[in-house]
Amino acid sequence: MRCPSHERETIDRVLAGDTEAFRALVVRYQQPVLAFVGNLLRDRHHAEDVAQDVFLLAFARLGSFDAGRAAFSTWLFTIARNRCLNALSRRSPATTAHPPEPTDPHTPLAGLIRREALDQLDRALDDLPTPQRTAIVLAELVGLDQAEVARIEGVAPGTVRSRISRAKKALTESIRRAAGATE
Amino acid sequence: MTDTDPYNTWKQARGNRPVPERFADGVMDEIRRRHCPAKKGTGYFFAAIRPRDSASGIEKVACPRFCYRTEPVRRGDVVVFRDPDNRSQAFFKRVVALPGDTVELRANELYVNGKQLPRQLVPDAAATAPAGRAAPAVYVETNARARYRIRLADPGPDGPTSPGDVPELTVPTAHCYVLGDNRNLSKDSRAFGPIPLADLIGRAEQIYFPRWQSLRPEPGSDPE
Repeated sequence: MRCPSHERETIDRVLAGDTEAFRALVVRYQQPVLAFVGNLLRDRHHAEDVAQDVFLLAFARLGSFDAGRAAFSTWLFTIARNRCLNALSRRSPATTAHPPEPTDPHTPLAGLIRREALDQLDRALDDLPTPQRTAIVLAELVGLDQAEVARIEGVAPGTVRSRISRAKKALTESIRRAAGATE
Repeated sequence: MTDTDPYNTWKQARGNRPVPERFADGVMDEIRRRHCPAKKGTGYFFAAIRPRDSASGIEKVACPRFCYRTEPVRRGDVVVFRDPDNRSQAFFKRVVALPGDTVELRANELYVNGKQLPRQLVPDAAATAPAGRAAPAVYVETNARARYRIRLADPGPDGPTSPGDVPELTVPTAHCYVLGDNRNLSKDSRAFGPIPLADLIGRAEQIYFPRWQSLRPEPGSDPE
């Protein structure tokens, strides 16, 4: 995927010394990057720190971005993926357990059931092998197409397809198991 | 899977994580802090000055610090700089010539690059003067693209602090030539010579006390 011309213009402005132009890129990508990093690291504050780091690193290395080779989003998510993998590898086992994320229940009972299902899926996501986790988060939660995920992961599209399929299967299986246990 | 499936609900909830308020501001602040050292310490320099011919006492001036690290000095700017004779004190003067320009003052007329700067008398200008002295004549002087007001006051018994006439000189590299707007009552480059650009603290933009008054030059029509 090529870099859209308006993004290329913004990048050129930043490289020419207009630091403030970078804000447009931050505003455009802050939500998907936070969604990606937040779903891999789970801890909200840590995720925000890492997401900020991703943008700082992108700014510092913008000169090495080749708009002819990849979209800015692909390049940015590659940085985000690498930062997350570093953060996960540094994390001690004791810190991998996280409190359940807040949800917005409509009624107390429905909210409880819904929350339990979401927590179950979060736990199932955390249990997946890292390549499957990054692939399913990028494709399903961030909404990138599989070809872009393959470029970010540096693997063939077929590999990404099979990783996503296996991850989805594991996640739906976990819901089924949880539903079976409550019956 | 339908929209009510736990999987789809989870996808939607986790994919639309809220962005913390001011996240982008935080990123940009950090970028500026790390990568734009020229803008470090950006802020205003406030000072109280007592113009020599002012009957109103002190005036308070605000000027952005360090603006000249990112912007060029222009003719007509009122700059704040360290007093070459007393580094703990600051002066406010107007830049009339830039590096490489020639300057000459002859019979109260200012020549920059060999050209006499045009000026027009402002007949009803409300200039004030200390008790017992005549009100100074106010002129609008045009210097390249800037127009600003100057006052030519009667020096009085104290006499001028700078020699009236200055033979032609060339402003050295990385220096500028400054004159006070009260031409006959000012200690300026006529006394201490061109000042190094490195000594500039900032550009004085406004007097905010006792009444607001812009110090920025009006745009002039002459080409640079």
